[in-house]
Amino acid sequence: MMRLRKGLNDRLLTWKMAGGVRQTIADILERGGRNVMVVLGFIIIMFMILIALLAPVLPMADPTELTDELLLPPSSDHWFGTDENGRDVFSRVVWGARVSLLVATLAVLVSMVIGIVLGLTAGYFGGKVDYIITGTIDLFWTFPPFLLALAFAAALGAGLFNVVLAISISYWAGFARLMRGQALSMRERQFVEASRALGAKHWRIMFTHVLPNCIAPLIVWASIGVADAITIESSLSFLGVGTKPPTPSWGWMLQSGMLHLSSAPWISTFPGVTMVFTILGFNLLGDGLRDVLDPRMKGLRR
Amino acid sequence: MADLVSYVIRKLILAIPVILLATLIVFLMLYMTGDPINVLAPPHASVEQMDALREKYGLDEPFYVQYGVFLWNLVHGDLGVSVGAATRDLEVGDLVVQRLPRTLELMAIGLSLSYSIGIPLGIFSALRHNSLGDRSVMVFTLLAYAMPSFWLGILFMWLFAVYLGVLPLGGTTGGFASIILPAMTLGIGNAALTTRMMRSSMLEVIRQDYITQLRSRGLPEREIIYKHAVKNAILPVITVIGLDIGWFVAGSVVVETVFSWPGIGMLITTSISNSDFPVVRGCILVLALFVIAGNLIADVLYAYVDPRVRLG
Amino acid sequence: MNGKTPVLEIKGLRTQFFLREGVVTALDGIDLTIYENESVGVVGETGCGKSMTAYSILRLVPHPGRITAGSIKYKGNELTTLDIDRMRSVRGTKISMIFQDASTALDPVFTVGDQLGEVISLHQGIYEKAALEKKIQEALELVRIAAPKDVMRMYPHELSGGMKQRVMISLALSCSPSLLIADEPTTALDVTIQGQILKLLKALVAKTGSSMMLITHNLGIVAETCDRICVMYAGRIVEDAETFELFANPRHPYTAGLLMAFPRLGEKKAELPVIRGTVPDLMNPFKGCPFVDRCDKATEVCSKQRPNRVEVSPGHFVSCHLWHGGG
Repeated sequence: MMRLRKGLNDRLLTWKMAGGVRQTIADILERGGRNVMVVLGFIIIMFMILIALLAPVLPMADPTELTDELLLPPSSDHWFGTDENGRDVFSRVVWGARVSLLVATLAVLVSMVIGIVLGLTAGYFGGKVDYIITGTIDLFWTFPPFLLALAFAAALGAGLFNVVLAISISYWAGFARLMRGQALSMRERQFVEASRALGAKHWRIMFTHVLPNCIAPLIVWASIGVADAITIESSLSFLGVGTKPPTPSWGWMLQSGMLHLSSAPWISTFPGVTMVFTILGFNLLGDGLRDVLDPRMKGLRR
Repeated sequence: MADLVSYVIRKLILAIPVILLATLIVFLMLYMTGDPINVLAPPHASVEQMDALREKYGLDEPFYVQYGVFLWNLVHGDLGVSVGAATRDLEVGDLVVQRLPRTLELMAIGLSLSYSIGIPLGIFSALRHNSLGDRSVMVFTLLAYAMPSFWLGILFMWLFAVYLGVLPLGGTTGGFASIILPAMTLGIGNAALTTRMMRSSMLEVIRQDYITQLRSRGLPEREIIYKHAVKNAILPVITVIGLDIGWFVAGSVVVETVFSWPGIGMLITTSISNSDFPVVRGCILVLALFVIAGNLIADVLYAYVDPRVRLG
Repeated sequence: MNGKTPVLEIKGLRTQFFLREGVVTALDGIDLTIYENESVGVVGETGCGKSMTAYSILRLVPHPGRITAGSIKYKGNELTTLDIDRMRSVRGTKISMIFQDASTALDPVFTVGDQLGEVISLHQGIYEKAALEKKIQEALELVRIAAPKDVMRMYPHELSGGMKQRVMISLALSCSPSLLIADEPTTALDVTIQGQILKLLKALVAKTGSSMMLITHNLGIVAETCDRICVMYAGRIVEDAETFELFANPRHPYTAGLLMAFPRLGEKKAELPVIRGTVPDLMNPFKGCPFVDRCDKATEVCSKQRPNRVEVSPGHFVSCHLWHGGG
């Protein structure tokens, strides 16, 4: 009988949390839909994601295939021209999108998880735990993420997962800070006290009450985070500690394209423009949502 | 003023654990790649050589002993020895110090550019809220922020060095002209951030009660805006000087590489491609100290301008 | 009237805000006269337009609002059409204002001395350091601040609420204006300090020979400090009379309601009577009297026609249909 009760209770709470989340998302969609930046950003993002997902099935050349057609300018055969190894730039850009988006999204997800767990714990429990965690957050927070990522990437070596790891380690502090703030403000609220008085376990409270309220800023941060992550990943690849060749990466393409800047500018231009386009999309979405949801969050940049 | 001094001392003391943590992280970097001897030894070293080096670096000692030795060496300026092909056995410390002034130059000019563009632009934009001028400035900042430093650098390089041919491609051979492109890249990139910050700050300040109060005293509008509003609005911008310096330090790594500017950033890149780990480690540490110092200076500057902070 | 010269004459003042959602009429035809050497209290609930009257006088109405009709004459000179430079010379010298919350009304990054010095330099032309410092000290002594030399060097956040308010008063009175507008000068202060500040204001105003317009929602304050009282509701003045007369014979139902709701010492009441309903929406223009929905004595004409301002006894004016014939 008791077990049945507990099972129902759990289900009820999960449903409630889902309800809270659903409510916030509906709210976001409604208000966001009216903002130019949000809509534009969303369109750009969807477009890029679509391209990235469809990369394997699109009728393009193999991005790693070396041919004799070196350094050809854009033509109807090769929309973006070919690079110094005869590879089709267009397909490399598209595949590069796949890689960049994958790395960026993964990195942000991992950061989020670490950040949410640590931040919530710090804010909710307070005391010594909070002190230690906040200290760590502050130390990581003041460091430019790129520098940290570079340090870790240099230590770990090039490679896709290493890059994800490097970025995650540098970026979690922002999420943690956010969640800690939210948890702190929630902790004082009456309904949390009431829940506790009713015997609810800590984790339950955190996830059913605190988390749904943070969906909005989390989405903003995540969006801006992906933009930052793409920047960091391509910068790392540019320097040679990002994704390893032959995996196509925008940063890497830009680096090799630099040598042919005067003779074959298309090698750098197209990946560069696409990269900026994508980053812009995520920035627009993040900034736009932030303006819509809570203009007070202005201090979140960087 | 006395409260300012005590504030500075407090901040200095607080910086110590941060510095220690930075050294710890850099120290731990060594172990992330597996057996540390692989990165400390020159490539193609024989087993005997590796064993000798293992002995020399005390890699069999317990952790805390190694860390202690590391710190000890650090304080004495010993950052290890290079294992790169061209710089074998040179002191890392020497290599870094050699490059330091170049990076400092770049950062100084870049920072000045950023603030001298960003602050006036932000004020201009705020005073013409929602006008065409304001909107264009916002579009510019949005675009500039979406461009990673290396892309902006390549763009400028193509525009000014290749297409227009008016500035050198890189290196330091062109005299003063050589620093223009890299400084511009960093400066304009950061100017976008500064502009946004200044603009939103000004917009907030102008709405405040004390501005209306000053108007009610009959003060000329010019004085109200440029003496009172700007001084208040600039505070949040100063708070982020520390983060700005961090951004510059990070950005300089990439920009120096693009323009072959012989600073610490360039050193890191070449060392990475040479698998010269000790140098990489030394550079990262120095850059980290830069960032910490930058934050400190920013904190002190802020306390100087805003008296309310000195109590905190 | 009573042989005194008017310092400020407001006739038919209308101030409106042009928002995206509609037009808000904050002030709808204000008639108000302030004479030399008198203190006029302006009372009403939040949102009735008291502060907006003050801002309109000094032409500090914030965007997107502006004065759309009426005249404001300072000693015979029309203010609403004055060019901005001349208006600035009026502000701070001829007409001054004290703001409600002194902690947000003082620039936080300049010392008290700096801010006072700025105003004194500008209006009295004193720039030389020693002379200026002396004047600043005098200004602080005027508002009974002890240790003016120390306070001069302090920043606003280092002062208590009462001291900040004194500094504001000092700023406002530094040039002996003919009219001082005090917008809720004591609302943000502790009850114990309120009395001090009021006494100070009264004394200073008498000393400098200025007139005062005291804006507040607190009837007790105006009873003590003012010669005349204007009662405002929904952007209009519904009644104005000399203090004693108003308290003794309130004619407008709103005034009567306010006075009844005001707890008085010595009276025993089980419950304080409350005026039912809420303030009308200023975005929807209404014909007739704005108080009609909350008035127990409302008649049909009250919702159709706007009541005129009628003198029911010498110096006592009411805008209410009940008193149409001056009964």
